[in-house]
Amino acid sequence: MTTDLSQLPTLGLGASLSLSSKPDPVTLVKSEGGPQFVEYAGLVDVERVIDEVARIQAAGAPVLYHPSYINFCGSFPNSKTWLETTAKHIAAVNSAWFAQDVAYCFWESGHSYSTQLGYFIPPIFNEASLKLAITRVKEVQQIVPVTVAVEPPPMCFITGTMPLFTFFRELAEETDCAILLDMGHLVSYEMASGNQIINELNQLPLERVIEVHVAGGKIKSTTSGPVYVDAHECQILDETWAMFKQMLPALPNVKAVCFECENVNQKQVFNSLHKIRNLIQQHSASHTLIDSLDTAA
Amino acid sequence: MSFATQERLLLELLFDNEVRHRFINNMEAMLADYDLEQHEINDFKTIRIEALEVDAGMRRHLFLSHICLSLPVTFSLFSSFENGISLLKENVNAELMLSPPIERATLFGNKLREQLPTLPNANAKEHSFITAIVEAELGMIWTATTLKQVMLEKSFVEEETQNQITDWSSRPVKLASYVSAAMLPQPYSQLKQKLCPGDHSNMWTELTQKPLKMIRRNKVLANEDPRLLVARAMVSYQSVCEPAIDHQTIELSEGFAHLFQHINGTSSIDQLLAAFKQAGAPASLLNSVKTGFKNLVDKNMLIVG
Repeated sequence: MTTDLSQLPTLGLGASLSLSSKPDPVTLVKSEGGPQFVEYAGLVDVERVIDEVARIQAAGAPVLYHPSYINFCGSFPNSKTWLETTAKHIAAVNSAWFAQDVAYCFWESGHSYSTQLGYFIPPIFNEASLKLAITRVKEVQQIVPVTVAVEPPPMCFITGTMPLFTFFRELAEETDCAILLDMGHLVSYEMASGNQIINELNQLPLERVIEVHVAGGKIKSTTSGPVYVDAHECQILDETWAMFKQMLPALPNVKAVCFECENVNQKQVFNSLHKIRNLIQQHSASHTLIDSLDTAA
Repeated sequence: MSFATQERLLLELLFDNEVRHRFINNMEAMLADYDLEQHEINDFKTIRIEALEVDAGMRRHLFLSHICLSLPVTFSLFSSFENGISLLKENVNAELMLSPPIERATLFGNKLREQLPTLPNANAKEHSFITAIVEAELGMIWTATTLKQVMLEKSFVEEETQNQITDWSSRPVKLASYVSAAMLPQPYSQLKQKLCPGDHSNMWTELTQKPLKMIRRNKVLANEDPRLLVARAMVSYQSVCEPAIDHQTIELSEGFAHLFQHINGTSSIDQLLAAFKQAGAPASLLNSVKTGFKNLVDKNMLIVG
């Protein structure tokens, strides 16, 4: 690994929030037991969010920018204009790194937000797709000014035969990028593929994992088995908690754990942050992460 | 290598009902129709069919939630017909999703306009009202899309503004760029209030759970208070990536519709009023018409030559 991920700051336990809706990020940040950082999925133009971001930073919390309009896979290149605007956004809000799901956000006819496709379309897991994903990540790395982290997306079904962590190992190593793991997304992979993450763990360069997400979800039952649906406004599922407990001891370099809690009520946010904090202290292999919680307390 | 074919097939599986149903009913035969090598075919055999259906349904729902914001009254009215919600859902297809994102609302609205004659159990008057509403919302989408396209091509659009022109009524006037005008059976603001109550951001979900009742549609459309809706698309946020466009609207009495036909850049409002007077219009009406046009000039919807 050539990228020195140890140089990245440890942000501790944070929350992913919508800047314009409840719960209010600043109220949470200022409260005891609140998030140490705030992650947001804002619009590409920094001017549209900078006032809200400044409020959060003034309250003492750094921010991470996590958009939903970058193609980190597929044949359709990212617009240079969008990437340059993204780079400006990242620099202006001082985001320590830049992470997003590896998925299709737009098709060939024009750069846009993933809402135009409903939401992310997961990549096809095969060699040809991997090569294009490497191209897409490098395309972003050439323009954005910080470490790029790639994230396995949520998925209802799997297309392709390459195991998830084999795909992400190759992608991370070829592009020398960091990795973000969302516990719910890993549960979704298990349900979609029938594979167990624990059996693929040796494939992933675990030392590259710098961020972990925990979020609510729903399970839809079908006659062929359950389907995980990413739903941040819902409760964190037992399967997600179990995945979190399973993964924490395997990830020595985690610098940020983010509870994605857009539209979750404030009381529930604090309860979940409390539970996540306890689990980190009990199970995490990242000493700097544990230390950052102690410092914040 | 035919990765592009794989990508295309993936998109079709998500957005094309027919392709998806063929895949579900006879995967082998369906995949054989595509120019794929065996290992590429195998990539699609990993798909859990029921999970694909769940994904496609959620994706369509989220897309319609998004597009519904551009056609709120149209969506509400369509939902009141027996097959309305299905029709709206069926219009999300691969062809639409392969089109540029900026054009999708227009394409979707055009498709609905084409389908208007197929709506059952609406009398001729209701049909004409619904057509007018679809046209009005499409007009606003079209001006917003055009302005956005110009904005993205040129990076900047200078706003047509004019300050306090004292002799405005004696000079030729024309419609400003990105202005649409449509006759509606009632004020648009009222139609929205009556037919799209509640949280607009959640409107599609609400319509799928509780479509507009036919009786409510009949009742609302039975009232006639015709208005000319004049809407001007304006850049509310300049961006080289995703400019934001809003509409400024004015609703005028139906008499303006006839007068609007003469707004062509050669005639002045005074000339129009003179002709109107000659036809026997009383002074109070002439004053009211002049005030209406002054309002349009002040809002930069009419440009004085």
